Amino acid sequence: LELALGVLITLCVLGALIYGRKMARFVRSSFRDAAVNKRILDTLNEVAIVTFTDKNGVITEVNDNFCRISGFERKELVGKTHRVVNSGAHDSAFFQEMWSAIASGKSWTADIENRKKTGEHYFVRTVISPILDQDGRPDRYLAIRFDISDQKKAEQSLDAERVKSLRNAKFASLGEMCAGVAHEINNPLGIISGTADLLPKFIDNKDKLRSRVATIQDACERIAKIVKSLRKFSRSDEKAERAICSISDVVDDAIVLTNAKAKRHSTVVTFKSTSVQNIWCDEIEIEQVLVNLINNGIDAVKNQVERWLLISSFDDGAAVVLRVIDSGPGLSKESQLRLFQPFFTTKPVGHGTGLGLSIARGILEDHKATIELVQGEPNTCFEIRFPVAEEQKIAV
Amino acid sequence: LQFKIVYLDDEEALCQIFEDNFDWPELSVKTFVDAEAAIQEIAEHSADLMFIDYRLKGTTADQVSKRLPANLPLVLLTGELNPMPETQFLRIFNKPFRLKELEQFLNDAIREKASSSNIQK
Repeated sequence: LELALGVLITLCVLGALIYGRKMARFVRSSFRDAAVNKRILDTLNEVAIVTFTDKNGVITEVNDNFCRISGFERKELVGKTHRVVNSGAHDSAFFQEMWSAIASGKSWTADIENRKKTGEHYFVRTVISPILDQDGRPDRYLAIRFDISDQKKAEQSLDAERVKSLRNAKFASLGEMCAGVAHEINNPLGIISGTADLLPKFIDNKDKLRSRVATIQDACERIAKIVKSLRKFSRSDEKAERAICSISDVVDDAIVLTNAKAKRHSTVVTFKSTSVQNIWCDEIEIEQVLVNLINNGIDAVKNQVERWLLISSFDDGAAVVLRVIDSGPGLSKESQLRLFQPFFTTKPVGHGTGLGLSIARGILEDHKATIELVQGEPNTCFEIRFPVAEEQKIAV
Repeated sequence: LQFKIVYLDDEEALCQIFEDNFDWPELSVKTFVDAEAAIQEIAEHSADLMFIDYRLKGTTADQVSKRLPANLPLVLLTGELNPMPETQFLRIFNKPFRLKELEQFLNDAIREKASSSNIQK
């Protein structure tokens, strides 16, 4: 069977090569045909914005689509440069890169945000190709643009939805953490309050007095640590703030925030790290991913006899690897397939939104990191691989 | 006759506070950070009252209470945000509690025990 498959694949590859050459010959000969050229241009005129400029970028020809989409009349465009539709959304480096490419005889492609005569912005996917003179130097330029405003609007709306989902997930995890954190703060507060009540009793015993003051200081430090881990969640803006981070610091904070839940379900959470590399990340977002994974792990093992989570991090070449292993027996094949799908949850109705892992993966993809369920482990094991922070970013 | 109290809390500092404050001659106070040790103490020497923290190392006050004599009055101490059901607890004190509150409660309990002893005599 393998031999037959190999022969079949070889035949397919040979076929594609032969057919590809024939196709190329056909295209070359077709383009020499003026009728075909005209048909191609007519078709382009129907679906795209087509403009010709001279070698200085002054518009010499525009098609109807350009006028219809931009709202400018032909006479308002011809004789001008494309500055007439410049929205100001792109910096000078963007256009310098364009000129550098096309002036050297290469085509240049980009998505450009332009401005209509009404002031409204629109988006075009642009290809600019130089038309070369006999000496091979650009003589004029052909620009073909496709209106992708609807697509861009859809992308923007998707981004807005993602930010909204992220915010909701943040509130959901905050809500879950709130009860636990209150408990974690109330205990040291009880120590401070009780010890302070007793201080007058030890006014003549300096050793005991010193020891009780130290108890109060320890309790204050515990509260300060919890508040510090929460402080990041109070950031009100939605902009990602990326910086060089130690994964150990992020894990430590996530453990502080999930400590109450772990304790409530008698789950031992351990963290071991041999990683010395840093990652480039938005600390809040990565902490959110970890809080999510830890909370999921605690929920997953709460009916097990052994209840533990082992978090470990280590360096693996150009990656910082983080593993979250729980004492659970792993996930069913069906769950594994749907694990990262939005709204998929193994928790009982009302106990999970199912947004956690899908959002976690989205966040990690934004960080060029990956998350996967490691196969072949006796326990449930999630592995996250972050790219090591690059030197130039460290310099920043 | 001393009023015997067992205090179970995984916070050593809270146990210390309890011992420091309730060094009254009419009280016998034993504190524990380990639930098993507290359960054993009560099984061997009994107690008049037990203060118990809700979240303990590896267990909860609910679970511990099931292993204690049914007639032992239990007082729950909790830092939980959500109100706890009072079913098996005589009284619930929320952390951070003031020692005055506990003192008042204990005085009432001692007085109640003394009066019931007098009635029995």
